[in-house]
Amino acid sequence: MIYYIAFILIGVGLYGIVSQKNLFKQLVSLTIIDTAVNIFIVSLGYLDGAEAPIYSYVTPVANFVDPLPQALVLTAIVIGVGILALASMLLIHINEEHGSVDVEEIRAAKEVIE
Amino acid sequence: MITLLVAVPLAFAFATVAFPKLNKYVFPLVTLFNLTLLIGYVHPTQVVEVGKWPALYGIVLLLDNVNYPFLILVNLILLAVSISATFQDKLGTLLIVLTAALNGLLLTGDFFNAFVFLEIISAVAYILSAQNKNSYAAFKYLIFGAIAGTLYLIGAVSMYVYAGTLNMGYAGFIASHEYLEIAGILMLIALLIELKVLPLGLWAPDVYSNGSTLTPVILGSAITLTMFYFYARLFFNIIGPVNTNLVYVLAIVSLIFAQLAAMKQRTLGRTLSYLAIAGASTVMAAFSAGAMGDEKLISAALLYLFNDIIAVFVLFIIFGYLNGKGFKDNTVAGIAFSLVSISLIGFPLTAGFWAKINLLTALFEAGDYILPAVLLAAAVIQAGYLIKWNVDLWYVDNDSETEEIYLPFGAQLVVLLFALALVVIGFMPDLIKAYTDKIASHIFDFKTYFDTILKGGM
Amino acid sequence: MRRIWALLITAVFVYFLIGIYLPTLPEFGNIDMFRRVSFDYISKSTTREYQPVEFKHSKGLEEGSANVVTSIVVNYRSFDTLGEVTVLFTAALGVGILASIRKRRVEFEEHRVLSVATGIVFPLILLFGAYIFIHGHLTPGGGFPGGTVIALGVLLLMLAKNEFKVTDVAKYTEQIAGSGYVLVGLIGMAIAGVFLANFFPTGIVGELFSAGVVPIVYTLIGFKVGAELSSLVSELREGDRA
Repeated sequence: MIYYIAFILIGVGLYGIVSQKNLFKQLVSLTIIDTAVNIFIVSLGYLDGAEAPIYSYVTPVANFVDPLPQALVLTAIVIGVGILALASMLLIHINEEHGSVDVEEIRAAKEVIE
Repeated sequence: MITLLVAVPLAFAFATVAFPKLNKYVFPLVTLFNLTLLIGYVHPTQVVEVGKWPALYGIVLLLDNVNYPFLILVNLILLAVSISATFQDKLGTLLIVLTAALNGLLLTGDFFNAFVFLEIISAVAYILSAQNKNSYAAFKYLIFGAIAGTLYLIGAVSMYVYAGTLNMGYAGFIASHEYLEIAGILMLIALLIELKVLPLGLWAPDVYSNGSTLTPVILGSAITLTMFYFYARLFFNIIGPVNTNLVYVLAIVSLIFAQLAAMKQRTLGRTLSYLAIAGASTVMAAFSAGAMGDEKLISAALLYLFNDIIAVFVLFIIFGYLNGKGFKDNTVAGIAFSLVSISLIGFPLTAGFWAKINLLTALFEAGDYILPAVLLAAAVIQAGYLIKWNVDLWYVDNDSETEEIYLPFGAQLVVLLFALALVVIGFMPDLIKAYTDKIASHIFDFKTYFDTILKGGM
Repeated sequence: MRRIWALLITAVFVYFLIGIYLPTLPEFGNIDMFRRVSFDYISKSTTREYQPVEFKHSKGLEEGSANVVTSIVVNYRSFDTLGEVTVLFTAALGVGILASIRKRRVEFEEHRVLSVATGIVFPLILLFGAYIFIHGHLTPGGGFPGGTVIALGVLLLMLAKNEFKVTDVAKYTEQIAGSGYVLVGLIGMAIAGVFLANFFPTGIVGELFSAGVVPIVYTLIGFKVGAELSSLVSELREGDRA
């Protein structure tokens, strides 16, 4: 079932954030978590045998899946994009300041300063 | 009418992007407008259905006796920040957006709307914490905060699945209790990350110690206050207490760690940030001890929160400007710093004394002995390092080569006023106690909340 | 050591999700639509009795979009969309503030095939983006994908021609469109009494000129998102031009 896929993807993303040393890989894992949660929310609204929630020539009368999770996911995706853009800019900053995006090297550079 | 509290700052924020030089004047004006609207024109228990859709289907903004004092305090703090902190012009637009978002989170009555406002606040906080070349700490905060936001999102959507609607009042009424608790656990973890409780709040020491006059002041006072309001609204009013024993233990452990760590730090910045974490953990422990309906305890915890917020504001602004230099040339800053430290330790005749006494009394009456013991031990440790820092800063030798730094006039005024306010409340604690008692008596009352929403908007 | 912590935290969390959280959810594909609010969103009956809606026949309803998701995003829960627009605005502003550290421009090599092809494809991309957000109430999509397509067209132009700069027009467009959205809400407050109320007639479900204020709002959002993402990409590339 699709719920299992979404939960395992969340687990993969969480594992990536905690265990990776490269900051960029942590950011990619965060994106995986975002995508997995969006998949999960959309799948909460599925109704067997129903169509996409748009009145058209194909479906002139209503036989639709649940449209509210789709509206929520629209907002959640855009918010995820905004956070991703901010994080990328911060990574550029870290690279210019410390010279690398690896946690060990940054920590070593900070020890030298103090 | 109360939508104007959110709409007007947003309109101004969008309008001032092209004129960054005007930000210095627009930001105080906007917070002043909000304050006059709150004090003069709107009164508690109003419901607005945004877009004129009925409450079950649309978004509801609610002003009642619980969030009215919080609103006034948050807008007051933002007004103080606008006068006293120095920041580059472009940040002013972000601060106006933050005003709108904080007011929105305090007013909203809808789970997903709260998520959107939570994300706006978090985005502004990430940008603020990257000031003063502190990008690595800001990145860590971003990762923690984004996970918190995602967990809250799963919790909010589960509310929809269990109850069929996203409105807080209706969802609390319709959904069954065990389902509410499971969604509550998800939202609880998200709020614990934001409230800096220690194993989940590891981002806080690095972020708060970046030495700017803006970041730790806003993050530690206004945003922490709003998050505590949201915690109280969710877990006392709507969902009911979730896992309080676990949170209690966690908060006590966090308090012990934070105070011990604050003692061992070498720089003032990190000491103060651990102090802020310790304050937040104390209030969280008190909240979870009183979660079953103990109004006296919640009222005392709110007074402690108020004292902590004002203290953190004053301490961090002084640290941001002086950056560790002495008080010999800055007597106003020094007096404010020492007064606030005395209030935090809990000497008589300050607000902190009443906060601690009320908290201990209420805890003893509730039959709890662990938290008072930890609280007293922590107070001793806190007194130790605060007195040491005060002595260090008053009697430091200023080399004549380093240039002298003065606080600007606005900052001196605000800092002195806040410190004196704490002393005044020490003489007359009933000023604030009336408000905290009113909040505590209304916050456990789900029936009044639901009836207000049922009666509908204007 | 990191990997052990990571495995532990992940195991506890996935166990919570699959063991404790999953049993409380309804079975996949088998939801009870009558218990949820969406039932009234679909039949547009939040303020009247239930009556099924038919494409190109029903007129003068409380809400006129043929696309039910659009009606939720822009009409029933318009306040959330205002917040979402603000999140994007904050992110773009933050990138602009932080971008002052970029001292050098990222240079691209020009390829002849790309330059020629972009000249042909770019107007089509803009047309497609505009089609998406103008027809947001009739077909899937709306303001956000439409604005993103326009920004992608600008990115293509940036990759094809090395000297291309995004000027201040983007900032002004973003500002005007953003204030326009709040202004629509305030006009709704002046006319109908509540913020963000719909004040245009809703017409027949399925026509281009229907659904009241919804196409206007989506057009504003399309412009805003397009301008925002274009200036964001430009700042990631060459820093602050101020």
